[in-house]
Amino acid sequence: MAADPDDALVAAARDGDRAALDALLRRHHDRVHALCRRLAGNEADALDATQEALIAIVRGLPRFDGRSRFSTWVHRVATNACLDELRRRSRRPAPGLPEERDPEGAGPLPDPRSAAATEAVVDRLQIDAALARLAPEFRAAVVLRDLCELDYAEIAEVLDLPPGTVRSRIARGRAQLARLLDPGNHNPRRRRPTTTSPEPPAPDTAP
Amino acid sequence: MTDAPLPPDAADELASAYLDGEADAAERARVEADPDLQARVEVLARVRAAVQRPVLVDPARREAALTAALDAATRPGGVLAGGRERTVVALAPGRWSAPSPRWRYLAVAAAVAVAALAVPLLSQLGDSDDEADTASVALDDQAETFGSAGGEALDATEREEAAPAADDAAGGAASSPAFAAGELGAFDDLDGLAGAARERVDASTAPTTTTGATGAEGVTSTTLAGPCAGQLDLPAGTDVLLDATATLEGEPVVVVVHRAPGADPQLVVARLDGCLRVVDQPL
Repeated sequence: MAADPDDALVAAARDGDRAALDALLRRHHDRVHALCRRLAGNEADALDATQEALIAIVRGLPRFDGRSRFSTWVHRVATNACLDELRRRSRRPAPGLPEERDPEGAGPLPDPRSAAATEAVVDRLQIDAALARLAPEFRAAVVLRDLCELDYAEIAEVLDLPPGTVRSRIARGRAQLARLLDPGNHNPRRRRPTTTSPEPPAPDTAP
Repeated sequence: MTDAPLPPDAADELASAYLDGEADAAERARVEADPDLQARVEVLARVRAAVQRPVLVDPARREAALTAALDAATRPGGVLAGGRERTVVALAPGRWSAPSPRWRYLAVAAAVAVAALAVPLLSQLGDSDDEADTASVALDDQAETFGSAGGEALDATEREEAAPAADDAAGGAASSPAFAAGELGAFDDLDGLAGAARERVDASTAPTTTTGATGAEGVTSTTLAGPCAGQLDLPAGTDVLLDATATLEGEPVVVVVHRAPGADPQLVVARLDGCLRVVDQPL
């Protein structure tokens, strides 16, 4: 098996090498931020959660036992830190419009003549809003799979779940996102229109 | 014999697992034989593409987060509490036998940049063999430095310095078909990048194009050769039509266009740093 490219940096960082720790954190920062961004649904919470996650990684580094890949461990620590941060902030209003310094939502203002640019921003807001409506356990499974590209076994390790539960949560999370992003979209097996009564499908109210 | 219809949740679970390559052989066969399930896979694939949309990072926020984390490490009990500071040491050959493809790519790009600068300089220096030899050695040393150290052994500063060198090489070496083909340019939005990728694929797949090694010139390679080689999984049997670098919303990215037999081209965009896939959609 190929050596984990993080191993040498982890060893050096644990030995007190500041440059190695900096390099290690830099390697993983953007992925942690992306994970927190999709879990949090807004940039302000994502920044705080990312900060907490990085600090948790630094503090937990002496206890990293190497039984899993470092990146898997990072995802585990970061996911827990992000979800903890979100629980602490659960009384805040639900995410809506982008915040002032949100590089996702604000960014360069789209050219109003550019439908594509506007659509891109709207898409980002839509996916954040849709993800925010998922239960955290479904949201985490979907984000770890689709954004972080972990396989089911790794996600099971990160979330401390059986692989079968991971598979189910990803599927249910995606199905719910499909309904939220495109309300007219239903699993064809959920509707069986008859040839004599072509009624429109009823709204899906599954959780 | 046909299978009994699945309950909706079971159908979603089967389609989802199929999409992720986590279905077993019997499940794959069932999905491939059922148009409803295939349609469901397509719906879930669109959901996946939406979740994969790029997440942008404010560089100033990134630095602030890293600084705060390093500060936390210096507090009592932290890994840096002893106050020792060293540079990142060279990595043991056994664990770091070869630089990653991404860094090999950057190393070659940097060497081309140095060469592009060295040629006019040497012509100004005239025909002095001694001076030319010196420049040549320097060039070799530069290539050796990048090639032997490997990207993972570079510290953060070196990485930041290497990346612009590669960009310069890609942007400035118009006479180098490999890098001219590999650099799509900078784009403010995904549509612009997709359009450039489409043009490049259309141009390179014209009957008069030549073949090369990377796919950037209309090659029907089945593997990636660029910075994310070995780090981006593509479906088995797919043809790589484009494997290039670009900048999307200020972020360096790798742009891959691939096509499975009988299917339409698919656009994949991944961050250059870490090869995290941020876009996976039809071109």
